[in-house]
Amino acid sequence: MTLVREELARFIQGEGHRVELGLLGEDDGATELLFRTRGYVVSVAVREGDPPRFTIATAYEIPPWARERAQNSMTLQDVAGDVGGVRFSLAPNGKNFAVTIEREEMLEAFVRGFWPSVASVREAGIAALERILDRSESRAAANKFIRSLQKGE
Amino acid sequence: MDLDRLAPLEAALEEEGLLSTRDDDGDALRIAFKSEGDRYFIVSYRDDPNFVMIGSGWSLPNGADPERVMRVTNALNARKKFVKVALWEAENDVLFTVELCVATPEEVRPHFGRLLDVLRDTALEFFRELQA
Repeated sequence: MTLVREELARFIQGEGHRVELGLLGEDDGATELLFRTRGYVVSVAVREGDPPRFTIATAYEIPPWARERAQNSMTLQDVAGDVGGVRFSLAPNGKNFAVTIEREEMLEAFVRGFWPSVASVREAGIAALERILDRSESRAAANKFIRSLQKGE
Repeated sequence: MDLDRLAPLEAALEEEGLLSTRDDDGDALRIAFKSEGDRYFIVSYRDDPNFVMIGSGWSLPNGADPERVMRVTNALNARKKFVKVALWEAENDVLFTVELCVATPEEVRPHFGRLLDVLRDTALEFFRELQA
């Protein structure tokens, strides 16, 4: 019997992308396929079943100067509310966050919506990162302004 | 010695995690590859080693209004950076190309992802505007 992960790996390769097996063990019944597109590494976790479950994820690094965990956690919640359909997870060390979409459907249906789903993950991640950087920049500008006032300039 | 002028671009594709095939002949060096299921090509001519073209070709939808197609093509040519849009093969196909003059294709390598994005976005906009 052909496994769903094997068929999915063949599909992604057929679309032009080199696929590697990720680090997820099979302890929880999941396998991770990794590929690159548009400069990002995309992970697809596959749990065999009827129907199978798929999780598409991409990770984004937050620049050191913008790593304020509490603030960024709220920003990600805001963006999740605006975008819808995706989930954000901020790493405990605050250095990066992941965007995920989950699907539980037959492979044929998953494959039909595969690239739009990958695009949704990427666009949500980019929107979140932009919002984090914007807020950090406005905060830095505000702090600078407040410091100037305190100096009486 | 005949240098493989497209080797740096093959390396760029490799870095992007894209699979590719070569199809060289006496006139040209060619790479074919796919990204997200769409087909692209890279061409360099042996008698014009400074010229490099990256492109993709698409069929026009049946019944597309030729005047509208021309208007959309012209608007994109005027507005988009890098890309040339052309109607091709008895105007049944549309070709999106980035044509560059380089000392060596190595110069293209750091910008390859951006150029691919531009090609992709232009094709997307072309078909979106055609349907609007």
